[in-house]
Amino acid sequence: MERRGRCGVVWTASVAAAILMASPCSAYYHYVHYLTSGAPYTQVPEKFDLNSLPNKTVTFFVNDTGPAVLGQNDSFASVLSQVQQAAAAWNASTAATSDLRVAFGGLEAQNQPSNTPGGDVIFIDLPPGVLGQGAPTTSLTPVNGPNGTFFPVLHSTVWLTNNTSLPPGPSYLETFFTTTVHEMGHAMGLQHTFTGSAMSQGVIRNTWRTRPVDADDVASLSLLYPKAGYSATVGSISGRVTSNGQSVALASVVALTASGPAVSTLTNPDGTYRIDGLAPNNYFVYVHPLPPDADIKGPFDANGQQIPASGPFETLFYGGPGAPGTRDPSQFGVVSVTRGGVSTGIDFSVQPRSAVPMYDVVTYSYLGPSQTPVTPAFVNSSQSAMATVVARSLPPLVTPVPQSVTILGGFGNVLIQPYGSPLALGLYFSLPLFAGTGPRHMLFNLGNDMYVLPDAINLTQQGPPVISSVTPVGDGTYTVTGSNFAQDSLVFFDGLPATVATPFSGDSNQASITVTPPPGFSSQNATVTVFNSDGQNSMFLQSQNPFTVAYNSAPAPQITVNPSSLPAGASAMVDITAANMQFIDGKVTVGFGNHDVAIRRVWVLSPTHLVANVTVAPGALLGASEISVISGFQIATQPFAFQTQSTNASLPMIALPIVNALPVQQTIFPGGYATIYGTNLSAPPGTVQVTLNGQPVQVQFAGSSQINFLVPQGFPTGPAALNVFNGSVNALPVMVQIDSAPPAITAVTNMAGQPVDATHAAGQGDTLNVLVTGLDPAAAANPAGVEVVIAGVSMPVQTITAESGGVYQIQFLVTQSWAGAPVPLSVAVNGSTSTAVTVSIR
Amino acid sequence: MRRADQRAVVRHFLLALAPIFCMVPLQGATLERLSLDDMITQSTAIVRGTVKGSYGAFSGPAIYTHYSIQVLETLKGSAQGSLEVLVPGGVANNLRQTVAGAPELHTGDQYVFFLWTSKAGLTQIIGLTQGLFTLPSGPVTSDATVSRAPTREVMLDPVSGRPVKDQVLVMRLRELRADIARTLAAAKKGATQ
Repeated sequence: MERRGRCGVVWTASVAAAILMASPCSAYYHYVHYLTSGAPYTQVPEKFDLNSLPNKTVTFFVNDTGPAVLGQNDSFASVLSQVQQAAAAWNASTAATSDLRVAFGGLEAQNQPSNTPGGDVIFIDLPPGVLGQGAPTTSLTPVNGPNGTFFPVLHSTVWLTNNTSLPPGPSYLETFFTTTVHEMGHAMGLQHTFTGSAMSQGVIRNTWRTRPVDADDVASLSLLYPKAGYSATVGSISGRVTSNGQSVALASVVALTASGPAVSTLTNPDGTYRIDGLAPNNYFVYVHPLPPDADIKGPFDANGQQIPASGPFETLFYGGPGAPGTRDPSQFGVVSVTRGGVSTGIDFSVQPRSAVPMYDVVTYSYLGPSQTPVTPAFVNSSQSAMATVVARSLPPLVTPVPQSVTILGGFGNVLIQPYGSPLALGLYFSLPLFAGTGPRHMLFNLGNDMYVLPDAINLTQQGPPVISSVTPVGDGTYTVTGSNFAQDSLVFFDGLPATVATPFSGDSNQASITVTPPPGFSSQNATVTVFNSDGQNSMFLQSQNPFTVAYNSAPAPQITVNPSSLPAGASAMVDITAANMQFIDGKVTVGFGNHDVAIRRVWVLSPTHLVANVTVAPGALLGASEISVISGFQIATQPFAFQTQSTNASLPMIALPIVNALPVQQTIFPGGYATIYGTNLSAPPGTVQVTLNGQPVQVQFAGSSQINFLVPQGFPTGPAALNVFNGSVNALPVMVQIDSAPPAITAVTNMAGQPVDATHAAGQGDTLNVLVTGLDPAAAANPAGVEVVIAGVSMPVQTITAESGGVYQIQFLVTQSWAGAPVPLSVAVNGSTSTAVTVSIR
Repeated sequence: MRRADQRAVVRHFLLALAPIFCMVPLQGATLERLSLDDMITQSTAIVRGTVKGSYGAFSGPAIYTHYSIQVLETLKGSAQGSLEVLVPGGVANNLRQTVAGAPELHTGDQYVFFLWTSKAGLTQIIGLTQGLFTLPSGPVTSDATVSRAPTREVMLDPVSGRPVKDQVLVMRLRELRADIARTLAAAKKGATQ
């Protein structure tokens, strides 16, 4: 017992425990409701309705007032860059598996109304003691969708304190970024997990700039918003958790491999569970109780009441078919997961415990000459055969002294040295040869119980990067030199990556990278950070005195926008020119300050000129909203400059995107047909006319809701303005991207030059050649845009070589077996797909 | 590892025993730990009162649950009769907003509230649950126990920025009254010097 202050304030652990026990502690991976009062329990999640989102995209706007107080060298532009990067991280990480797209929308006015769902980041004067909070706003009325019933999220808001000098600020720090990633996860319908992933509670989270989300996060989001066919690419583990024959509700069940990420779920009230979204592999599976401080809402019963979790119980690993659960690593059973398969019967029988003995454990390593503490721990496995890590429960929790500690999959015989007050555990363990890199999981053997800390430590092959100089070259670029840089090191200026001008050269002792900084604002003082893909960054050892780069003084950015008003339901291209700004393709955000107005695509035509395709929702609220254009750290805004007008019934309305008439093709190209969908596209008896950059094109079909037209052969690639005259009036023009036509496959051969057919079937691991004609030379020079696809599976392209007669040879590796079956093979170039040919793969 | 090496390593640990948690990711809510003195001085009002009813309503994009409080005792400020305390989250217009860490007050229950009124005029509890003390049901005497449950949210130490655990706070009502009076008197004395 500790007396605190002069008034006899008493901190009583036993009372704390009693209050905790009395508090409802219930949970789920998503925000879950049950509409039935008994088994079978069908989870009804809270999530966005994709049909109500423009282009299935949830857009996050940031309140234009920004923080009132900024930390040292911090700026509102840097804050915005982190929100932009966080949205991009979710979007990129789940692009292959989730239908929900995530975007940063720029700035919005305070309390800007809109009818379209979305997310908002707001800086407000929070009460003393509150630094930030977030919340989805959800309808109380469930709706039915193609993937089942759900409660639609109508809006999500993140409130941040308006002082970035307080944690997690300043915004240029990595943790501000990972925080924003985390909050966006909540906004999209994800709850906390205990796997070290982005959605893990902060204490045990182990994500970073170059690994912003983990497998658990990807699975969680993808299960809420699955792409068609997603479930066939992943597998599941299911079972039941009981204690003395009684169901255990809200137990956390985790699947993981020794050197791979963990994926988890929670049990239903009847103890059943199913972990979905698992990549095919062999998994260890364990069950653990939620920690007493689990910050999870729900699940809710049919009356909206929270369903409580069962009491504490022991942590156990699955021991194999028919075997009891175990805490002996040598007895851990393995569960095999296959694509589209469900491994059933992975049951656990656990014994109750009076309390959860260990949780909220933090690991540290001490790096650099000053032994700077870093958490979670990073261990350089190439430096020494011995590794040293400190672990302790977050004070005032008391760290129990385990009987033994092991790293899952090896690294036994960890020497434990308790020390200090509050107690910490010094852990010394020998690293085997070829220990590898990446996160590893730690097992704490507590005798009659255990604690598992996924992603407890990170193995690396070198120490954290250290910057020794940042030198202007004189042409606008900067050379960053230092140690422990790597081929994949990224240089960030505040929250944005710089563009590599001269790649990494040197070695781990001394290396340099020359970069072009992102466009900055007048007199900006940007903090420079080097990030390595192993999770380490230069702020590990240099946060007290980081390198900064001062941008020159410059006039304020200005923009001219045309048109600045659109009717509800319309799509149009908006032309934007700028002064005192530098547009860079792919790095510009255009926003109209309103969830009802969506940006579908931006084309940077020159450093001061861009065009954006804009769609206004049919049910948009009428009125004014803010236009913002953000390039790097340069921000140009026009408050209340955009007007959403009432819909114009006589106007032909083009529904974006304009697509290839062939559903298998993702691009529009010369010689191919394209389709325009919309309303009022044809107004007989007049004749529908379509032009591309003013050039009339052949209309193959014209109806009120659809027009098919032919892109002329030889039409130049790039953006083209498309006009539709419906026979009476012109639609608002939109921009359309014309891409290269797909190549044609002339042959698929093995390395002996034989055709890959039933007689000469190829096998997994073979290298094959595809010979094509009509390949865009620009695409040939950039293999990253070229894909060889067999039966829907992308194969890694190794080389592209020009042969005679306009033929290109694409060499690729076969990474999968089809048991000798004939399968289709096609070549896709930046989304344009060739006609498929049939090959045989053993 | 040789023992001497271990000792050297431990020395390093002891030197670095204050690990820097400068940045800690936000949870559903992120809180700054406030001492009782902090709450006394930073609150705009401290009252003991009974919850008489509640309703949810939007304020901008946020739903707040508005609790009407019958004031039984004013410990700081000039609150009299009744007042309205807003707690983030709740249900309004057939919509639910879930704010992790926000307290749920029960009609008929008695609490001591450490309140803060924003420039916009919204009166809220300091630090989500930090400024909310429960009282036992029934008649309340000076010997009644007031207690505060620990929050489950991430809480940061205001000086170090390190995450800290909240803990239950239990004391007699008369002790709380005395401490509030003492702290306010000291603050007043400090202000006049």
